[in-house]
Amino acid sequence: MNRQQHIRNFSIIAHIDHGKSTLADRLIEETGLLTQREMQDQILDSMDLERERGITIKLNATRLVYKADDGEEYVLNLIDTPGHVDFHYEVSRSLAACEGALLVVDAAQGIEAQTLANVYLALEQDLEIVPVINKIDLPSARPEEIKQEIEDVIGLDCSEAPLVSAKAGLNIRDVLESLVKNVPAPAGDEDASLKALIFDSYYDSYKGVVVDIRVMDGAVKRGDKILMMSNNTELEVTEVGVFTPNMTPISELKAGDVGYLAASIKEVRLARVGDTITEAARPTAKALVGYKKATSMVFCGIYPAEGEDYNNVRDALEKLQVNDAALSFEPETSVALGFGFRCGFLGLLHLEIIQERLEREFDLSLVTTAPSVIYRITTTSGELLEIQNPTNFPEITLIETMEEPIVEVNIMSPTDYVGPIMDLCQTRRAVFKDMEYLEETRVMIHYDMPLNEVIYDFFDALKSRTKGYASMDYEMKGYQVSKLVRLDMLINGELVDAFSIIVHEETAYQRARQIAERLKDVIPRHQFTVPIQATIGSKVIARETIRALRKDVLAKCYGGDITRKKKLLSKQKEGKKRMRQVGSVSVPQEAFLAVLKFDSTKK
Amino acid sequence: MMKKQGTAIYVHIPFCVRKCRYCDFLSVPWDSAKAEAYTKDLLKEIRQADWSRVDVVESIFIGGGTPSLMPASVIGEILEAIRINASLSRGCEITMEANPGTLDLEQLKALRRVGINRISLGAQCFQPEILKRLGRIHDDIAIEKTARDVVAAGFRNWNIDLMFDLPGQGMAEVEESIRRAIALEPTHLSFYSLIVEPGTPFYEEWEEGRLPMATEEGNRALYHHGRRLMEAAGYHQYEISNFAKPGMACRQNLAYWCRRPYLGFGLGAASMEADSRYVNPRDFQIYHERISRGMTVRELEETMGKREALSETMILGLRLSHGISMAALIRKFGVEVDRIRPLIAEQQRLGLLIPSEKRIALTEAGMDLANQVMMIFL
Repeated sequence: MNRQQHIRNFSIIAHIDHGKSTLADRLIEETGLLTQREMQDQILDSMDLERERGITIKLNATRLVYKADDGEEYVLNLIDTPGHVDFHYEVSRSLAACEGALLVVDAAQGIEAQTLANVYLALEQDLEIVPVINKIDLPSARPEEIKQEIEDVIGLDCSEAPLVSAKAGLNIRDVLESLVKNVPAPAGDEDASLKALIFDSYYDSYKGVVVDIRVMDGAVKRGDKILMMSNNTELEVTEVGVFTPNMTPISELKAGDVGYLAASIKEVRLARVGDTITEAARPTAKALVGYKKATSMVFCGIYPAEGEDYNNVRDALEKLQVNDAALSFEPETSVALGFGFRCGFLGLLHLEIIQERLEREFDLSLVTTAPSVIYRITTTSGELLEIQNPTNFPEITLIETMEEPIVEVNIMSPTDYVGPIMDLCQTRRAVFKDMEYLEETRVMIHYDMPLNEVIYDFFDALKSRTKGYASMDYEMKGYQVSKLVRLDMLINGELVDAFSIIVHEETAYQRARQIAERLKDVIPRHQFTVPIQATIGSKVIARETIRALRKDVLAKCYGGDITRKKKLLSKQKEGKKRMRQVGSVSVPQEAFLAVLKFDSTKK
Repeated sequence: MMKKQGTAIYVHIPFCVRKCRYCDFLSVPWDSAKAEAYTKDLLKEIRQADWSRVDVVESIFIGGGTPSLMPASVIGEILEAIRINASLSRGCEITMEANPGTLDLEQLKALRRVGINRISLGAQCFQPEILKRLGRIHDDIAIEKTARDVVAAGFRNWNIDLMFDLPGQGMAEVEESIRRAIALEPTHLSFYSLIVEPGTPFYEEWEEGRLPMATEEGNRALYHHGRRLMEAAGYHQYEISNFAKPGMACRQNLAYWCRRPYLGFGLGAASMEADSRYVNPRDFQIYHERISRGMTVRELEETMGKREALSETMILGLRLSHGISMAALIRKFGVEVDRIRPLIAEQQRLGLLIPSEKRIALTEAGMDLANQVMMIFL
């Protein structure tokens, strides 16, 4: 039998919490790759952050060896995908390396909006979808209804869908059997010229840039001269290997295989994700399709906090960009925050994750400014400007027309929460399109909404109003003429550029009041009264006052606690030092976050 | 040879009838067997200590806990152990803390006989319902009874401890407490704002939002009003939280704030000698073992260089109404003082330090924001 007949390359598509990582762990366990003792919980989610949030952010690949009921041994390459709405782009990357995907659906909750979006992505790429109903051990599980839902909504045959509990380790073999049976084997030409797709890359201090590849045709081994097709760079392969799940060198990767490749690549830009690798001596005629370039939709300023080195921030951003092509950045300067970077992200979660990774993995202390989207402005002189930094927002008198990006938002929810969802969307300038019943108790609601409303905490607001039951997905629709204004914040009479945001005229007053209130709460009292004003142009539209500090004294200080009292004072002094000086006002780092997040009706 | 400074002695008695809800001091419930064993260790510690640096003892303070739970004879033994090792100055101030309702006239007389010459009475306030909320074991009647006994026993130097910004306490309650305290004619009054310390039941209440406390402005209104009442009755403020009749300021406290050396004995007690701070173990077992083995009980907490010593001198000295003498500061620290001159000038400009060339002292406004000024000198 052909070698490739014994390979299956697959991804897992699932909503957050539907048990993808747990199922992946069970598959690894079941195939005997690791003994139970070696299993760390959820080994695929290797970043701390992923483990804590229970979501997968970065791709990861693992090679499983499975002896199927037909007596044959199969190599199953599991390529992990992120589950969140922001990571469409990365999902498409992993799907392109596969022939099939497991669709994991929670037996109690059913399909969610993001899952659906990812399923469509997989269908677009002609992947075979294998439905799996998980969490059947839950008392609230209703597998038959969920199967029906999948058939109705996606049109997949679920009659033989494995019913499993990843948590309890129930029926895991059924999943593996279904994979072997239903996912097509790769069908590359081993003798053809090398054609391999880069689906991920990362920096290793010993090996240089390491790329994760799927070999479509041909073969590659150590010593081979290869060519990166997008930039015509020739390199010599220093190592090829597979993930077990640790990197294990092997002699050769052939058509159908998934593995990694190192070639002493110094520069990240030479190993672009989505690029095709071929043989230098015998290049293939046509590169693989690659990926749609990820477009940044949300932008914000990232600045080193007081005492943090600008160069460290730049180095960290560069390192993250290696395997996160969706992250973009360029230097910028703020009056309040000094030198920093304007960064572009796929969405708000992506922004938060990058921020947290910078802080945790690189131990940086940062200040992030309010997120923004790209606005289109036509000036009176006919010039078209693309503005994402509020600082560049032109004088109102120079503006002919303004446009803002609109997205199509799809929300899935139990019918009970339709009211609260509609209330929320109404406050977000959303235009209702239609609503469809997925089953008797679940609906999908479609809205058109300005992206600028989505990025301000919409996801959190939706979750809090629906007890976490609703899920959402959005995609870019286009631009729409809009009446926008720049809202500025003045602290003690001084404009703090890092607080400026672009908002719709209608919501400006409400936002202004909320931000002023937040700032009042987070900026500590000073020895003098500190006024906070929100302005549009020269007009003050909201005002708060931080009253002067009246008491800051330790009542008691006796012989036994002098050292402790000194430490308390030192700590207080340190805290003050870490704040940003805006004129004579000390502004804590949290203040910059205060404008970043809010839910307009939550108090 | 440099003239040795007078030393202060602190002795800790870590037993209470029960712990108050706001208290984070080192104390455990009274247990007579434990107290007896502890007394033995304490006496041994005093005898084993290195007294070589001590020239003359200017004050002794027996605090707690509730030292008034101890028999007068034990207090006598403690004082005797100190006297054997060091000479006491004429008029050495010997204070013992006492809680209302834990001792009677006879015991007070006995304490005077063994050498105690000052009593510090932990009254806190005069409203029985608030005292109950604090977890105190006494009521207002007990305070007045014990206070009269203190006077009847012949004490001519004594203090009443009061607290403000307690749950359920408004301006009227603070005023009542101060008036009733003044009516008992103590020579000294301490007037502390409640500090909600981590690890206390009050802290939990505060975290859960169940502890009603005044706003910053409200807290200061109580403080300012209390200060006016005490000043009007002839009690002069000499420190942020302390008031006394002329000449009756507490020497023990002054020793701490003037950075004079002190030796601490007992569980968790602190010492300061030659710009080093030490602290005893807080665990009974460890304390006992070290003493049994004749080891040094205390542990070094920090040794200060000139810079640290100067900043500490500022932090502690600024607590005093008369502040720090510029001349004394220059005598002690020389050119190092030049470093802090601009800092002083800045705080004077802000109106937090008095505009004086000779003394560095907080203004009334500065006392409310003392930390803001002190941290500048750290």
